[in-house]
Amino acid sequence: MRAGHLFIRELRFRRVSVVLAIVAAAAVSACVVGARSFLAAHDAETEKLIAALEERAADRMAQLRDDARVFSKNLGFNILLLPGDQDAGRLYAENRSTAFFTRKQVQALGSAELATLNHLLPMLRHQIHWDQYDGNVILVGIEGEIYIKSPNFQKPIEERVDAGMVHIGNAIHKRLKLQIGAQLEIEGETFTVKRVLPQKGNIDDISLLMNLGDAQRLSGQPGKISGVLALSCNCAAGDLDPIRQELERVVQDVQVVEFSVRAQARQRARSAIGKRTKEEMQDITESRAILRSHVAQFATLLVSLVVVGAAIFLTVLTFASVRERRSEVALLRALGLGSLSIFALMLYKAVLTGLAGGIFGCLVGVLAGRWILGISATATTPFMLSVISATVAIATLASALPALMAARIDPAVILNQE
Amino acid sequence: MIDIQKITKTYRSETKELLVLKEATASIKPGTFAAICGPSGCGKSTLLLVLGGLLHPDTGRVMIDGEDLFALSSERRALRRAQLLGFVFQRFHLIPYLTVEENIEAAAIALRGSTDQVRAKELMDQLNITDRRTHVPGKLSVGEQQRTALARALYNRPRVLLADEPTGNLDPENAEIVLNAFSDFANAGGTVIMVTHHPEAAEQADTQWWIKNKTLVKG
Repeated sequence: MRAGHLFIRELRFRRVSVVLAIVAAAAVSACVVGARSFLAAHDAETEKLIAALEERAADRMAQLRDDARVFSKNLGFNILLLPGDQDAGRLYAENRSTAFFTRKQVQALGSAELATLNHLLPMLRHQIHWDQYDGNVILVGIEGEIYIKSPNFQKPIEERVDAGMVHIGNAIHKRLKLQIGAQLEIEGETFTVKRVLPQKGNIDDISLLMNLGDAQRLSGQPGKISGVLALSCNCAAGDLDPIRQELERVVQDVQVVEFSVRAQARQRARSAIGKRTKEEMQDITESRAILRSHVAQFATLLVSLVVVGAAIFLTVLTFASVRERRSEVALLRALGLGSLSIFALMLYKAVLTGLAGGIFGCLVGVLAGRWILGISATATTPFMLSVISATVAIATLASALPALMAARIDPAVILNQE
Repeated sequence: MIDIQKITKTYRSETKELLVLKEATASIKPGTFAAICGPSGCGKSTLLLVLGGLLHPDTGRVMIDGEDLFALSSERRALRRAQLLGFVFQRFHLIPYLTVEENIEAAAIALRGSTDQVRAKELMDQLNITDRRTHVPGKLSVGEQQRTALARALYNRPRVLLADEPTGNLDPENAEIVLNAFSDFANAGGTVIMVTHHPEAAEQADTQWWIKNKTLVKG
């Protein structure tokens, strides 16, 4: 008979304690695999939350496209239509108009029901030296919107300015300390401040927005319209060709200029949304990271307790087995087995139970992770092998001392006693 | 030939020392069935364990066919024990989860050889336990258990059989079977050393040795 045969028969004979040992070892590996699955589930949940948040942010950005229109309105105009023979150099360098639309042309624009432009606002821009301000300012005369697409659903985004009233740019307000209701004199005429415009960081800050007729009179250009502002145009940024093509059918020889502020406005709107979303995602990521740290600490503690508990249980179980087998060990020594063979015989059992428990526990952990947490990708082969090896090592170490005691049993004492 | 040369053995505890054997000396030739007699506690079992290399004497030597058993390393002595000696105990010491046949074959566990089922069957037939071949010890009578233990002791064809009160728990019929087996073994050239405090059992032996004043005296 070989020791292996004896070993297998002993396992079958003491199957209850063998099953208990396997369960204890399985608890270790199942706990480790389960803890990992739990953490993986937590990570997956975090990723899901972030992904949902990103998706929500994208939806919100799409929804806020219209809001960007309002942002852009607050910051400046979108499209400027100029007469074809307007000298761009003088316009940009001196804020001076060299060509004007006729009233007929403007009326044609207003009644053309343009598809690409929404709010049309005839205007006159004219730079003057204003003594009270002690510098140059831009007179901007506006008449009110002459065309609104779908007027049933949209209201004018730029109200008209009544005669004798003026909206002052922010830089003018700051220098002259003018408040709403204050009186000011321009070219010998008195105007009342109706509104202080918010700071825009551009030429609008030194502009005086007034009724078109007042501006025409003050600039000495009665009846003239230097350009038409088109607010919230329906075109992709930078692609003005559709507008030009549509305008050519209505008014010949029109320059179309895009105000950069529109892009800036939209960008700011998107940045604000993006920033808030990013902050929210960061908050969630940080709080999930803290939670994960706590969960990981708890899992580590739980696994440690299970490992210690299982090790103690296996030690006690092996001690009991050695005590029960004292007579058997003494006989095996009398039959010629050395103490090393006895030690090995005891440890084989620990290795086998550790191996069986490790494999069983891994299966339980993986299946539990799959069915309860819906996690299936955490149990890689190297990880499983590591867990099984660790379980075997724990079972072996836990049984080492009792096995050593078995090896040191003095057969003479046992055989003499019995 | 077994030479027991001036064996002295003292059991020591924290509080006292108990001298059990003092320069016990004997020489037992092959083909001898020897009985070592004496009252309980006189040191018979101690001497048997020393002869089996399981208990180290304080002084003295045990020579089996010219080889000093205690000059060998522990592992080597264990192997020689498996090769040369067979043990029969009063309490049988059968392994509870092995069948009769497996208990007999367990004698070869230290020799790492293949199982000799023919030898096992031969011994079971000889000791009349063949019909109990697949039974575990718990299902056997006391006599059958001792016959199984005897078959185990004979399985490796040892040169020496060491028996500690082998008939102590047996009825006369089974005791006779065991003692006859010992006689047969000695007649075949083996050496039997049996310790007993039963005079009837000792009478079956070729020679009797008595432990008197902690030493061996030929009767």
